[in-house]
Amino acid sequence: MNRVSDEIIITENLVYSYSSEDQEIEMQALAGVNLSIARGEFVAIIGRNGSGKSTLAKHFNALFLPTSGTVRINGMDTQDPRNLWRIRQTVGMVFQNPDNQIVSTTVEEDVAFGPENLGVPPDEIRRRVNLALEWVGMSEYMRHAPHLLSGGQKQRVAIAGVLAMRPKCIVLDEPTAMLDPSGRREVLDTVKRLNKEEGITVVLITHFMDEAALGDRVVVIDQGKIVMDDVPRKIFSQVELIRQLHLDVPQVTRLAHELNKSGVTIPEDALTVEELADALSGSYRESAVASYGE
Amino acid sequence: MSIRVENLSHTYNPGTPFERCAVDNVTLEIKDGEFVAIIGETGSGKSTLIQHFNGLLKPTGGRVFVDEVDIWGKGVHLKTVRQKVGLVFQYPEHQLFEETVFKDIAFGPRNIGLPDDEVDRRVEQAMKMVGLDFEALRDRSPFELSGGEKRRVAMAGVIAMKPSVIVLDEPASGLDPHGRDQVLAEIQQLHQEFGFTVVLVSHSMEDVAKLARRVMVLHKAKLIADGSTRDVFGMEDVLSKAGLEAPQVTRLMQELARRNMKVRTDILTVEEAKREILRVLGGEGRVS
Repeated sequence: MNRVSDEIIITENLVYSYSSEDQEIEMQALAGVNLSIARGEFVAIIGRNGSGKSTLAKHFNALFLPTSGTVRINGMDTQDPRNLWRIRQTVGMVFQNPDNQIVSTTVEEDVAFGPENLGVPPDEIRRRVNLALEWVGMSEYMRHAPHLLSGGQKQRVAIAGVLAMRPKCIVLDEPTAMLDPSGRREVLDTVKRLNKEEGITVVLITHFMDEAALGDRVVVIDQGKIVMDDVPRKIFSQVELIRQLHLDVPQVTRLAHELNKSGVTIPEDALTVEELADALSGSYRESAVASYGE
Repeated sequence: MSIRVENLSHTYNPGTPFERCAVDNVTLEIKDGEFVAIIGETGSGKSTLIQHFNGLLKPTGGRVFVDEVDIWGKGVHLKTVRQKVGLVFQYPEHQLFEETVFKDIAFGPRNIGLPDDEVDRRVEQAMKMVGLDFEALRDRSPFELSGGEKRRVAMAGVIAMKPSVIVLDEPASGLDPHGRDQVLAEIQQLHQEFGFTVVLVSHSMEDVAKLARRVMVLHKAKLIADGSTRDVFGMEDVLSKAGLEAPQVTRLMQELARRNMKVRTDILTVEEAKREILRVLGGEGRVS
């Protein structure tokens, strides 16, 4: 039976355990995760250090296999070794340190590495490399040496390398942790564009709450389990709970929350400077009008 | 302990096709007891600059003074300079190597030939200063600890050398928000309670706003701003030229001011923003 589904990633009761160094204690990095990610979604995954979020991400392209439960990528079970290559072509991964992901001496060779390995014909590789570099805005650096690029540029080359494999989904594991503010912006703009314009499913793992707020949906992992799963507004307006989970909310969201506690009635779900400024200039005008009436 | 650099320049690979000027004619002074942040994009020269503070790099032009002594002058031992100015690199936990936490932190003090009881004292003290439990952790392998703990072990290794100045390069990167708050609180404490002069290099403007009293901005190897944190985060054009952005709350206040709300814009933290907005909404400073 050919099951057509809108979900590109489905995990069912996913458990991943490993034994501690002395082999005595069984640890569960993932303790029963049920998650579905639809085609074209932009999902952010957040959680404290050691919560299991990277372990989860590594199940999405079969770098890790479940101890029990199942992971299906585009309907393919990751446990079945025959699916391995098709799964890796479906889901591409980008990691934290750009320097560990560079394999060649020029940008175009680096991007071509994946499709070459797949045995894609040279003309087609050429086409894919050009297109992938265009998508990440790095075409003019085609013949540059990757190690001389900035951090943000290196990460965009790493993303292009993944794109050249024609994946349906990209999983990025803290791709901006080592970048400066403009590098972060470059990478996030690229990721957003790929999601909106090319329809590529994005799973972004991050410690930066303002980045997570860009997602259509935020999944919060703690102690190997999903503890929250909702749109960013609903997640970050629960300031106390988020902080108990060792996470944080964007500064403007925290400020909106604090102001409410002090009696200023404004929506608590502002995520950006613009949104909070709108809300505050509204109540400022009201308070000015009120004072005329006094 | 003060650090002063005068017309400092550093050019890598001079006279070759790879010649690159990483620090260009920078003059600055960090006074004893200050908490200073250095910000700028990757490649702006921050790392090159701070490696001059304890003589890891030799200037290709200009001079470096630690406590008014030219560290490249005749008869100056760089070893003593390096004890005075401790450098904590980015991801310092990658440099842990010993079998136990104690041995790792003791490596530096032992290396300079201190007697065992002094080494013990220093390790215990350094661990306490960064909030690590001496008895519980001394015999543990550093590799079994959490990310935040490992980083603090690495910091303790620098502190055990009893420097007066600590230079930290991105001390909180890669940590979750809670771990980040903890490490920053330790650094704050090192400054306030133990009197260290602190130089913080960071890409997180929010952290810089919270901690530093003074901020220096590097851009393309040049120092383009040096002033109080409030002043520097108010310089929107300088920041954007340097590829940086003030913290979210600061930008919010700037935006409110643009919309004719009479708010102060030199706001650095959520707490300050809250007080200022309450003041304005409460009646004072209203447009008449």
